[in-house]
Amino acid sequence: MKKSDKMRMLLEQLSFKKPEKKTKKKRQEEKPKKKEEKKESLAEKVKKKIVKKKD
Amino acid sequence: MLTKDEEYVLAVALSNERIASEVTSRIIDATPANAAAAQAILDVIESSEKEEKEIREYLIISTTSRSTGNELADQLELIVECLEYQAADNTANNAALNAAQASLADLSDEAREYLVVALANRSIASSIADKIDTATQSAAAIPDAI
Repeated sequence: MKKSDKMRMLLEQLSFKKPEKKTKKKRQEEKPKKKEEKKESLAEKVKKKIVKKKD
Repeated sequence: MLTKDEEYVLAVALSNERIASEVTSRIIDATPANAAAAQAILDVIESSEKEEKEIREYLIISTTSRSTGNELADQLELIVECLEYQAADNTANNAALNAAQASLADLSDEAREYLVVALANRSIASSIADKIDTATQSAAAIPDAI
């Protein structure tokens, strides 16, 4: 018997605490957030530069 | 855990049914309830250094990417390592468990794409990648020994 088949049988017998599955939709939701954060930080940098010039 | 269909596609990509079975048995997408359950899983996996090296080599070759093969193999080894700490149920291992858990991470987009190409099947590759991510999250959820 293959190891994977043995494992399938074992997992049916054992009790587990299943975590929340990360779906493709969730990953896609996380990605734009990161991009937005980067844009914000760039905007902040530009603002800082403008302030420096005024000074 | 991977379905039989997913394991079959993986076996074709790896050109090795045994290694596909080894990989499949390591993708435990749930946190064992206790040390005994973790030990029961380890008894089936029967991991060895030689086997882990072989799995790593097959993953590198089948994905045609050293970094992707290493990334996949690293996560699989870390899952087994965390299970070993849980099975040992010793507070002396808590620091090592936490260090291993800190190294666990979701697969990169690059690794996912290499998997799609290697398996020549986007939906199955995505499903396998998702299950590996779930397995790493499950290993990350293993509690410290008390």
